[in-house]
Amino acid sequence: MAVQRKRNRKTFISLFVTFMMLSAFLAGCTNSTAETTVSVTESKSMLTFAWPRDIGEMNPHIYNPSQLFAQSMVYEPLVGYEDGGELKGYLAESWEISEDGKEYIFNLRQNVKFSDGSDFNAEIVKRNFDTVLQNAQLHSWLGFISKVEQTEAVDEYKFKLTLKEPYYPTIQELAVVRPTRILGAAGFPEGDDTSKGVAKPVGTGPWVLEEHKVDEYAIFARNEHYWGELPKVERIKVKVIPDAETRVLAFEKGDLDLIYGEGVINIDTFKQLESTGSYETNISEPVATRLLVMNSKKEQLADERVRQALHYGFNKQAMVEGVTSGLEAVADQILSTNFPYTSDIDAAAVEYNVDKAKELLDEAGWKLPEGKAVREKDGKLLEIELMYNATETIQKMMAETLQSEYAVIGVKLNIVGVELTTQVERFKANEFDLNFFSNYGAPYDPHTFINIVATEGFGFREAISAYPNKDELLQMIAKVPQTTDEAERQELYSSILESLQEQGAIVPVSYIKKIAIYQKDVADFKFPANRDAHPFTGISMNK
Amino acid sequence: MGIYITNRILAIIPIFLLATLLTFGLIHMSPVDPAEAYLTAAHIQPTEEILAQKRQEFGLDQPLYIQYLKSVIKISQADFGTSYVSNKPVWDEVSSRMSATIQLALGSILTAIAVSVPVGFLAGLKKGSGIDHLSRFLSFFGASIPSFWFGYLLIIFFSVKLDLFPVEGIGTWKHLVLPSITLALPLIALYTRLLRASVIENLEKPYVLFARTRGLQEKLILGKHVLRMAISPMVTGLGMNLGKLMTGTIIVEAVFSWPGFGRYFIEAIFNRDVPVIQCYVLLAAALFIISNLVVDLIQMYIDPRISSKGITER
Amino acid sequence: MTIKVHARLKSRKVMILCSIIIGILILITLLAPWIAPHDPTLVNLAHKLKSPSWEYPLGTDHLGRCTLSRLLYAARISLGYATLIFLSALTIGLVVGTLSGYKGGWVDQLLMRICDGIMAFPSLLLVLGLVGIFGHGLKQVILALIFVQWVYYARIIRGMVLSLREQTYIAAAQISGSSQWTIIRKHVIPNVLPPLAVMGALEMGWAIMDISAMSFLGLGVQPPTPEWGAMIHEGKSYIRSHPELMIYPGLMIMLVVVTFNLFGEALSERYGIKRNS
Repeated sequence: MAVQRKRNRKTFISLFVTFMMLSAFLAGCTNSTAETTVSVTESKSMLTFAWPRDIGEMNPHIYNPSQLFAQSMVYEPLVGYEDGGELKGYLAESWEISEDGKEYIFNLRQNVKFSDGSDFNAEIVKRNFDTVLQNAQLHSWLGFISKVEQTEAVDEYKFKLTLKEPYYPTIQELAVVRPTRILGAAGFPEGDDTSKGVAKPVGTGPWVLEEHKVDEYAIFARNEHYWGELPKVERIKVKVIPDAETRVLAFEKGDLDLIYGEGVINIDTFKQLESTGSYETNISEPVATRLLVMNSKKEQLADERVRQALHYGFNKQAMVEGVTSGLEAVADQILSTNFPYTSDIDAAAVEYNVDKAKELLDEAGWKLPEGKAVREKDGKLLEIELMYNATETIQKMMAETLQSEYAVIGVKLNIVGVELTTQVERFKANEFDLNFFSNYGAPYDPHTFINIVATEGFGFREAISAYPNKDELLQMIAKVPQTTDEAERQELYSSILESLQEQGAIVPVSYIKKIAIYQKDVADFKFPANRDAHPFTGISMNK
Repeated sequence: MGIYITNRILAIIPIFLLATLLTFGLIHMSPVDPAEAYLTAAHIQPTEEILAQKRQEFGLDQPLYIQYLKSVIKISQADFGTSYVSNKPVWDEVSSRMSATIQLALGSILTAIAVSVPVGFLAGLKKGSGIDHLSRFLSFFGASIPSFWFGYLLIIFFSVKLDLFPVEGIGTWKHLVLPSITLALPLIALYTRLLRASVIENLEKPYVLFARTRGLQEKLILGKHVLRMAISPMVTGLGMNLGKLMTGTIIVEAVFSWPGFGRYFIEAIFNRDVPVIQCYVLLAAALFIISNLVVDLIQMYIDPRISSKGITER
Repeated sequence: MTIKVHARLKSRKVMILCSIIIGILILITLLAPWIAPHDPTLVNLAHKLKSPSWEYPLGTDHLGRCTLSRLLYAARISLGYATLIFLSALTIGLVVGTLSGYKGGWVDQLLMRICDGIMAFPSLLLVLGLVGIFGHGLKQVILALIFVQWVYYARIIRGMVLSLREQTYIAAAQISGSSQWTIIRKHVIPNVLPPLAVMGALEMGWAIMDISAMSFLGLGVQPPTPEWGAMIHEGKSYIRSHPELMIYPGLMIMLVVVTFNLFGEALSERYGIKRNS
């Protein structure tokens, strides 16, 4: 007995020691976090904002997991994209394009300093373009990158870009958030290859990254060297809150000043918060179109009548209204009219008409046998699969609604939720019947969208393969970027978009919009024209 | 004894190799092409050249057994490759999130002990009393409440309605309270039950009777002897439940936006970030195997008669 | 002695109660199409988020679907698949465990090493890993759960077979010339069944919990199929305005899991089987 008791005492002591060590570890954790909480002084003009994920590395030349909005706070482009597609000088005050559309000369702004006080000039612009071009393959999705022949610093404030062939969207593409924004000299690592990381996040933008705790928060301070109008708030704190509900609860408690973005909170929650009247809310112009793509290569869908029937057969108005609580607007065109070259497209809107849908299906040979719920033709059921992104609530709800609606016209819709990776893969491999897709938005469209439609291996080209005028369409699409004449370009765009839509393989569903909800003391909020950019320009707080 | 310990430790190596073989095999059976998954996760549109280049970079063009050997060597050096999504070494990503998860795990272990020791002990002493009923309630409902549901109930009640604790985030002890309780609930259920049973068992042991006849104070008997003896099965339970705890953190971190390792894992699953998934699974296996070994050794230390009892835990 | 009888009686009562609840659940599972007032996947956006009424006894969800119907149909998924998992894992475990225990030698070695490999992981974590590698969806979750569960049955059955082999009556049967199959059928299986029943009851509880946890994380049951975990996942977006959408399915999970746990507990008391935690 005594022996056993002694043993027990020993175990007890050793366990105690282990525990103390573990607790010391715990204390270590709490201490380190406590210090940082103290250092964040609750400045009066700090705007707290929530984002689902960490901002990532602040490097203007890389992609995920760096967050676009944060990159756009620190780094600026030569040219910016403004409302309605107007292109405005940022780091370039103006530019000239040669007659043949191959040479671009940028006159750079002269009073610009980087956030570390260093000078901005043509030399540093060239250095940025050169490091990006080193990894041209990585950036080949951006059309002009593969067409660049030469970069040159003509003089201190003149930068010249020479292309191998004319490519009209070049200026528009320079407005994107990555990868052509400008990093300061101090940011370059040894060997200048920024794809491996930057030494210091130095940019010319209105904000400077002041503090960053991965997966917890990031604090941006106003760049006191900023060349343009100085931001009104001193600091922006970006808290990482992955869960939408938690974001809302934190906002309601007053821990957050602003929630902004696409699909960042549940729409019904947004509506409910709006109805309380305690907060300011805002809804943006359409940023992109939610599209339903039908694969015309699939046997049943090769028939235009079936595609049209599926278009007539669902109540778009009710679905968009019901699913998005009226937040998104019904889309009758593939691209909304706030994009360049989209204003006079003349494609007829399709009205909800169940009888017409049934009629079209009957015509196409898909008959409803007596006492059955699903149409048949030659003993085959009219069964169609819709693929959607399982993590996107709206796609999911629309898929469930469509399934219910198509059952009425005798179409069995199987819905399959997949992760984004699979959705993209299967779309590209042409392994789908119906799929959700959305265009890219500003500043990418319209040229990127039609380019994707025409490119092999992205899904669209195959999806429209049953179009009788397919070859003609592809030729027109190839011609667009090389045009130098505005009128000709406009005409091409109109006929391409009209034709794409009229044959029913690409069904516009709704216009996606961003939302913003903020506390009453936040003022002057404005949505950025560039879909990826930050919304903090001009924002102020009255406390 | 020394030989036994050495043998036990050496026996870990083949088990761990089995675990790596299993993960390796599964990953290679999966339909995902790592090169393509990498590019999709990084939002780069793959062209044939980039794909070929990436495949070579990942060593996917080599024979399988070489790939496996290489991966084992790398793993033994704590090199789990680079995350497809962040392009950074997985180990860096994981270790930077580890402290948050450990904090949560310790918080919940402490909570579990703080609740289950007094409740289980008193319930064992006073069978059939109110506290015994409470302990039964705790052990049944604690094991049956889905933690992802319970967590939200706590948030609604304590954060939103009563405004006592923050909704999310990390930093002060207040942030730790609700997630710890949520995570501790199944542990409380288990330990209360274990302790209660072991107190009852110990009360019937001859040494208690002996101490009583010797006229020792009841308080002393219970506090000094019975409690101490009764706690040792809990230690075993603690070790054996580390794996369960680790799975629990995944869900609790998802509910409370806790910036730890589990949340990162779920994100990795959605992004099909295979190196991260592999790292997490292997680390869990390592933790599980080692904690089982430690429990074994402690048990042997307490009672040398148990030489090699297999320990099974779901 | 009196205490033991008392406990027996009590466990009998618990068993009867649990059997009734389980019976009702099985009835719901079988009769869902007839007792549910609506089609659980029928979307009706005009009726979204309605409060309880005669037409919709528990109100409607965010797509105007009948909440009661969804809860009832969800019982089908949870119980049905939990049973499937249990039976599949049991079958595999029975085959492997019996083979391993009876044959011994290299067969035993090989099979047990495979078990070691799988048991080197915490089970739910391995399920998550498998789903991460093979993609999410109910099918993957079910397969993964079976994949991690059978080893426990195999282990236990092997142990029982080993101990039974030592029993004299089996040796006697062997001497008297009964075939191997007869021995297994007559002596092994009857001895093995009660502990398996206990494990089965507990397994049902675990499986239901695991399926709903995976669905909650968005990795398991896919829409529009109703499932309790998935319903909590969907309902949490409406937690402030319509908390009942997530409270009901949570209560259902709790009820079912508590019932199975109690049932398993009562069974083990009844048959005097000591239960490892």
